[in-house]
Amino acid sequence: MQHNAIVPALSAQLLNDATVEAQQAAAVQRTALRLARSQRAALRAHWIDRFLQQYGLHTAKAWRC
Amino acid sequence: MALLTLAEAYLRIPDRATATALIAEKLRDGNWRSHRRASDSWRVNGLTRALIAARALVTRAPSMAWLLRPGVALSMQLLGRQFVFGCDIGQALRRSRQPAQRGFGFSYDMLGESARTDADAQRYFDAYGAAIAAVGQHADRRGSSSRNDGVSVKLSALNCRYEPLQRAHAVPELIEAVGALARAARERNIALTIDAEEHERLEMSLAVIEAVACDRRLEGWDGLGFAVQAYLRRAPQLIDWAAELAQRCGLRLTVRLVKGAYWDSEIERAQQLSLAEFPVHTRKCVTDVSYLACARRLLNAAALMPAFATHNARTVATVLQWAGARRDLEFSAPAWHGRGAL
Repeated sequence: MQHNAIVPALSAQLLNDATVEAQQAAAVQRTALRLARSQRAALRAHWIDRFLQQYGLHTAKAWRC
Repeated sequence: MALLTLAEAYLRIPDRATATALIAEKLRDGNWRSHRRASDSWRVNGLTRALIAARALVTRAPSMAWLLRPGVALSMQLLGRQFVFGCDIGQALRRSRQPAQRGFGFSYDMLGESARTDADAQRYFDAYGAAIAAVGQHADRRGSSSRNDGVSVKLSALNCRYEPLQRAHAVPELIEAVGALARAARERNIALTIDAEEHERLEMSLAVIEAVACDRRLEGWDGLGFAVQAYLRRAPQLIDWAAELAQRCGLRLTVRLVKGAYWDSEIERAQQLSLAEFPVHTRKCVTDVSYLACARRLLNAAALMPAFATHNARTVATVLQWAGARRDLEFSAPAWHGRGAL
């Protein structure tokens, strides 16, 4: 059994439901950028968060490297 | 990796000699020089210099690693605060005061392993009861419970035989335990959310949720909720099931959409059992798509109160766009792994 095999029919139905309508895409992009900026600003506010980022301790990557 | 394993293992080591050996080994493992002057924070750069110096010390004289123990213990405490909100509910409530003034609400979860004995399960039940009482002290008894903080419970903490082969015993016991907690939460008008766990326990958890949701003693309370994991291939059907249940029982059920935290063990378990299919999506990108598909389904289900747990800015933006003028949504970002606060 391939653990990373795609299930085309399932994925197609999900994609259909998950697709952002064309006329909403720009608004979603704007809001996402604003939220990402505020998230990054919050992460820079405290030195301990910056330490965790410097050493990749805030992501699952830290366990893999 | 060296820092993470040190952080995880250090506090569990009971004797000083082993703790010293672990410090020496992990500090030798790290390539701290590659982080030298890499940050624009003087504190972070100072810590990197300290790590470089400590590595030099333990490389030359491993037996001197004991000198580093107080510093390591302090560092672990600092790191721990980023991962755990409070050591007990009182500390967590105190720490929540400042963010609460900025409009944040909290759902308190307890870290811990599953109950291994009846005594464990009783201890967790009492702790959940105490948490409900403590959170309820500050709750507004009028209006929707979603305006107040809540408590999240894990069924595996409430029963030491929460496993499919013990369903006949475990499910009635869990219905009794969760029902009692739900009545306590209703009395204080706070939310009670049942966390999602491994897929093989899903059917049992649904049986518990259904029985508690249909309990007439909870009438008029809108605080019952449960988590749905978007990585489950059955996630869309679970949302449909929740909507049907809410309509049948005449209550507003909260569904908290999460991505799912047991991916590795789900894959391992399916492989051990030689199942024909995995219960979870095996690619992260498909889980992301599933999350959005489930979010749309949740927003369209009138009987459900949608709650979204995610750190993904684009996902939040998409849900906000789809929600339009709706303002009864909850967004939560688990405050661990040093992700900061939005």
